[in-house]
Amino acid sequence: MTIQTILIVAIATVFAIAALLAIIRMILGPSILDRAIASDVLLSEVLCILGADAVINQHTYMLPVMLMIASTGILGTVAVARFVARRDRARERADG
Amino acid sequence: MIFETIALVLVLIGALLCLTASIGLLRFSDVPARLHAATKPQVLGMMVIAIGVAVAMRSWSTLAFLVPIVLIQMATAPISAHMVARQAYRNGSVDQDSVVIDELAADADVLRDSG
Repeated sequence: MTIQTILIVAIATVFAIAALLAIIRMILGPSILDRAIASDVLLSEVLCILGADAVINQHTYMLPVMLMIASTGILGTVAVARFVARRDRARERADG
Repeated sequence: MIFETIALVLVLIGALLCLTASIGLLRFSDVPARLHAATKPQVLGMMVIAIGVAVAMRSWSTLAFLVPIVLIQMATAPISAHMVARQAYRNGSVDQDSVVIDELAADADVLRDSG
C-alpha cells in the first residue's frame, strides 16, 4: 500500500463526509435560504471533486466542466434569493 | 512521483477545507453564521485544489484553464452570499440579539419610506 493509495482513500472519505453533511443540512432546512446555501456548498464540492479527479486520474477532460460550473453555479442561489424576495414583498403589500 | 504526492496532499487540504465548510453549515445556528462558514473555506479549498491540479499537470494550457476558474469562483461566490444574506435580513431570519451594530436598519427604513 503506497502513500498515494492512502492519500486517495483519505480524500474520497473526506469528500464523502462533507457531501453527506451538506445534504443533511439541505434536508433539515429549516428555511429555504438554508437549503440554498447547502446546495451552493454541495455544488462547490462537486467542483472540488472534479479537480481531485483530474489530479488522481491524471487527465484534463473535466476542466471545461469546472469552468462552466464555476460560472453558472451562482444562478440557482440568486434565483432562490429573488423568489423569496417576491413572496415577501407580496405579503407586505397584502398586509398594508 | 514526488509531484503527484504533493498534488495529492494539496487536494487533501482542499477536501479538509470543504469538510470544515460542511461542519460549520451543520452546526451553526442562523443564516448569516452558516453563510460565514460556507463561503470562505469553499473558495480557499477551490484555490488549493486548483494549485494541486497545476502541480500535477505542469503545463501552461492547464494553468490557462485554472486561472479563470479560480477568478470566476472568487467573483461569483460573494454575489450569491450577498443576495442570500440580504434576503435573510429582510425575512427576519437574522437573530437580532447577536447583532452588535445594525447599520442596515437605517437604510432599510429609508428604502421602505421611499417606496
